[in-house]
Amino acid sequence: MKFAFYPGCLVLQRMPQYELATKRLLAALGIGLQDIPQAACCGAPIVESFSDEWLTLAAYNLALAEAMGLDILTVCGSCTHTLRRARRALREPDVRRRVNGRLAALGLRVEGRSEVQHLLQVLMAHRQALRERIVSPLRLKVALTYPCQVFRPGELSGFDDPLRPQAMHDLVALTGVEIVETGVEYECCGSTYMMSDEALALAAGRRKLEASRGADVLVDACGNCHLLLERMQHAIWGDQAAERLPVLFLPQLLGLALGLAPE
Amino acid sequence: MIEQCTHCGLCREVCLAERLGGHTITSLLSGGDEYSAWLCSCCQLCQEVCPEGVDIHAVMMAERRLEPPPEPYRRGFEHVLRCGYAFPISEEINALRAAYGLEPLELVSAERIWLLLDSCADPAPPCPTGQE
Repeated sequence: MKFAFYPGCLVLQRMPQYELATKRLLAALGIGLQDIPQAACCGAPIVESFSDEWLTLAAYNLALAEAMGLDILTVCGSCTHTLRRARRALREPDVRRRVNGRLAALGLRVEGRSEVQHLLQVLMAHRQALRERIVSPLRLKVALTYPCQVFRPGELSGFDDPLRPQAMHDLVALTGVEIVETGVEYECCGSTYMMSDEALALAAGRRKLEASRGADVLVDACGNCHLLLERMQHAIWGDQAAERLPVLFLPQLLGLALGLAPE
Repeated sequence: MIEQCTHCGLCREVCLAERLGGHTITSLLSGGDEYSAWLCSCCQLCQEVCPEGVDIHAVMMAERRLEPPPEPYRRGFEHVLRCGYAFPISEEINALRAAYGLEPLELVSAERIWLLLDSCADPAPPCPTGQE
């Protein structure tokens, strides 16, 4: 089994450890990931905030995967949502015709054949294989934060419960950890506020981290969540450095339980 | 779409930014006029709970194009037009990838982005064809 791997701009630029952990974990499950040459930004929300051409950009990425004959695997919420929404929009023959007119200049064409699945969906589909490969049960207390746009809107995602999803609980539970319920695991991290109101983003991040006190580690599954909850912790806590909480990507935690080396 | 809105206020009730003191598109939909369409995390919670099925995301995107953008959004859009990514990503990324044992990646060319998005480049082209 193989997917076209779509890391998105943020993970590509700043979080190679997420890409590496994802590739190694899936390789251990017999799932291959193939990079998409010349993939670009998914198109939203940045491009969509300015222009309807976000759809052209999203369709371009879908067309590349389609030419590879593969479904797409994503690791962030926003890319997942955007590519799925584009795929739905492209069901309209008129929209498809207009977009394909654009893509023709690049020798590409999109029909919407490649499905878009977030890492969580693929891992849930291979949960039994994952269970069988756990060799190092972890003795940790773990708090979780769900990537909103992987699950919402539910009519687009078609996966898990849009308001109270369980996928991360189910996957993390395989490792033997104790899950600390925070009461805010299903709430947005607020990372995107960084682009319009930094103070609000830091307040949102602090709220999530404070609720996760009592856990040894907070686990996320989205580059955007990680940007605020891990990379921006210095700004969230200021001189309260002792409050800092380690944050891991889900495939990093699962990889440890599979006995994969941490580096 | 916005015509379906009954101003019930449920979207504002569930909005994280509103609960933290911000005013988003959900303030507009709840009958208020003090808000910014740019303040949103796109968590889709309002959309999920809206009893009328209003496409709040689409309403917000339309409103954004009427409001001046915050600088990080403007810069991100410019990066996409210039290099195809929301951040300044160049071939140097492959040195970082190599340090992590990741295969080098073939980045999208400026020419391709230009062919796809030239209609966005108003008034001046951000990146002339054939030039990185």
